[in-house]
Amino acid sequence: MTIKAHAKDRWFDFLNYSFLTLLMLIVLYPLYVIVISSVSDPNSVNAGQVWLLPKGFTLEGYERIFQDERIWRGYSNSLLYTSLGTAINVVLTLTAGYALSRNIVGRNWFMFLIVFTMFFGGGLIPSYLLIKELGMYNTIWSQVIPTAVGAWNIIITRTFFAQTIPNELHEAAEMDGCSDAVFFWKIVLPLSTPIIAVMVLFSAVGHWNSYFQALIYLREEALYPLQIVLREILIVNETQENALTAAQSDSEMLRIVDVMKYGIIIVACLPVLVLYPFLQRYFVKGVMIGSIKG
Amino acid sequence: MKTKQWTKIGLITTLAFSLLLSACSSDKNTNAGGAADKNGAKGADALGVNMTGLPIASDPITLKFMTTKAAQQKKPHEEMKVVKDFEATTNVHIEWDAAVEGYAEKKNLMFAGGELPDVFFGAESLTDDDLMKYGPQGMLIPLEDLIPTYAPHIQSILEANPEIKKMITAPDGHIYSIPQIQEGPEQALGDVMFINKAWLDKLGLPVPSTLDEFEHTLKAFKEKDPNGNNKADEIPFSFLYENALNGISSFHGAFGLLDSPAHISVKDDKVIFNPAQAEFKEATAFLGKLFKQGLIDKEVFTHDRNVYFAKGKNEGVPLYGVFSGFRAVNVVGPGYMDQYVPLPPLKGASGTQLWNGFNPHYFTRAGFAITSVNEHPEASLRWIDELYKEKNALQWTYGPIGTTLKENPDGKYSFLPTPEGMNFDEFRHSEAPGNTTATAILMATADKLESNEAKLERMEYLKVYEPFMQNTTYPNMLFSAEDTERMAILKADVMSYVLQMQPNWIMNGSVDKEWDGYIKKLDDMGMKEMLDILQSNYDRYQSLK
Repeated sequence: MTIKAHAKDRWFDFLNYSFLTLLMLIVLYPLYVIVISSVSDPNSVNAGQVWLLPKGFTLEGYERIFQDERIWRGYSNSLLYTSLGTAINVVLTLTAGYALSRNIVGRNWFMFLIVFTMFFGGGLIPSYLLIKELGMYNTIWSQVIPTAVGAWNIIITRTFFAQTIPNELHEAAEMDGCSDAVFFWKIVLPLSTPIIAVMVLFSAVGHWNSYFQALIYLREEALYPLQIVLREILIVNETQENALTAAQSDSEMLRIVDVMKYGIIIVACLPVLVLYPFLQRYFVKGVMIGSIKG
Repeated sequence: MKTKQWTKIGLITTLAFSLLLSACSSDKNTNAGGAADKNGAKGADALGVNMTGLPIASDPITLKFMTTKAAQQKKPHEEMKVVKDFEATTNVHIEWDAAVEGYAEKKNLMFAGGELPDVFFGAESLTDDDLMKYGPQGMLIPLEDLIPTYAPHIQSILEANPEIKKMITAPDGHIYSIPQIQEGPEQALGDVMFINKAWLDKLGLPVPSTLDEFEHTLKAFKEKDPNGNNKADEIPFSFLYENALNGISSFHGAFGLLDSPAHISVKDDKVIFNPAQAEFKEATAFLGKLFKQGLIDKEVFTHDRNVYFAKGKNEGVPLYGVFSGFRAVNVVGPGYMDQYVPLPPLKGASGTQLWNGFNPHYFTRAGFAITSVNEHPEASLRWIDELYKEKNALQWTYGPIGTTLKENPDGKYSFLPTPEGMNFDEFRHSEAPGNTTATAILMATADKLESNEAKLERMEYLKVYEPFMQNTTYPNMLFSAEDTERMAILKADVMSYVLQMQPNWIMNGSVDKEWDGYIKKLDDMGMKEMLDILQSNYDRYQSLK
């Protein structure tokens, strides 16, 4: 037997659903516009005529994108930096976070050092000189080493471990003859999927989106990640209509950039959009647990 | 208690480190400064540089060049034909550090970190501020004493064009860079005003010649549906506000004073601030009158270039009656461009007819600058001197002979056809640095180059405007670092006030009422001091030889 919903409840539900639907539309609409703009005639897009359906359907933008080898090279570079960088990040963050959540000698001292970097940094020029002197300039290491650990992430993971892995568990395991390493590997990690997922997502998105490091530390184009390549292509839009480029091509160049613009946004967002749904169910859990002070 | 102690130690350590760091970097700077003296003292014979002819060096020399890169350029510099060919004849190997994006950041890091390249190369590789900041500090070396010996070709260019020499001479009397110059008669013309001839014919109207006629024509455009779609969608008059090539600077000429994007002009050796002149007020009032009647694009202060162009290329029927642009095709596209003709300067109330005329060149000051770490400044200068010779200059700008250029028996050059699937700009950047090179293509050389469609079109426009052209621009000169800084502060206030008031007046009227208060406010903001700085620099410039 079902209990009939109270009229007030139904009103509440109705309002709730309408409100959430509206909210969803507000969030989805910009994404939708990008998708339809990427297959529309750029001129109609600029004139503001594309808002519900694509106008002047064309796949030229995608054709151009897929033909541009710079984009593919950037893509593979970005994938490399992201996977390598994420692996380094996650390993270092988890091990550091775990160690700092246990009673090791000098724990507070280490914590102080780590937190200190959150408030004081060397600044751009000293960092640049450091990377240069360490021989990382213009290598892939300059993309993954300087950001290998984030102080904030360590704090989150440390709190997570302190809360979910009681010391008693460790003592019990130790009594059964389990070493620290085995305990971490066999017991702690399987219990920590939420925080691992969160860290993977945090650092993968961070690496995928980062461009400033590449801008400063990379010289060779063959090493450029996707974000730099995108800027390079889109910035053509800014070319001056000056005398030097007056040779017939300015408007042609502009058209090509316009036609590619939205397609590029979609192509560049794809990996993150694909990754997110798989990780987002851990997301709330991981962040919430980690963020409560322990 | 314990934490407090640690904090203290931490702070002290940081302090010590930062001191150490600053000590290190200042050390490096002095070293860099010293290198210049060392080079200056070296005798010419001990340099391993051949004084004339090629190769420049008997033993290969390697130099590090920092340069910008055109976005259309897909190959790295090292792999481009003109670069490889040049290296083979000069025996000078260049390690290129080329960036499109983030160039400014990289450059600033280099200066700040003391890790300079040997040469900054290419149009806009350094700004005027850079030249005046790092030149006098000794990070860029003065070239004026070396040019006569090691760059005879450039020397002769400077002798033949004293104006260019004046433009690159810093207030301290030194020359820190060799400019990039590209001349062409069509470049004397800036913005062009286009009018829809098809509409005029349809409505049986003549090309307007006075401001009143202009107003009537716009009104007819608005009301009589000249594009024939039974919709009042015509935009009688559109432009991009505050834009050099799509703006209304020259339009102001009808009121007796030509404006410019810098808003500063020179008349009879006197520097004038245009927005404080009565002519500016009249122009604003007139534009306001048009705006009130809906004759000016309502989006004129808000649309950007993309939207402005997109409206021009509107699907179905053209929308613009009159618009401002560089070439009609850019704004309205190939479909409608034939409907538009250049509108000759309008006659003002007092019968004045004026249009902006500029110096017929594209000029950027820093095409080539040698830094203090360069151990071969002489060879570097010989290198750039070779590049400024006609054939090399053309090839580095437009692509190698045999690939994009053809040398004709009569000594002229024409373009080879652009391959399918490429546009001209991609084509000419395929084997040459193109836009971002440092060369001089002077009038004589430009004449030898086959005119492309764009140039021919611009020459046609030029014929319309040339009789009315007047060059009132403030000379393109270098200011001292202090003057630059002071000007930046003053301009920030004054200009933003002007750019707030003019649109406001055009949209809402009442310029007559508020004008006196506006002038007073400009005075309070330091307009006088700004003009004094400009005037004293102008006088100095005039006295240069």
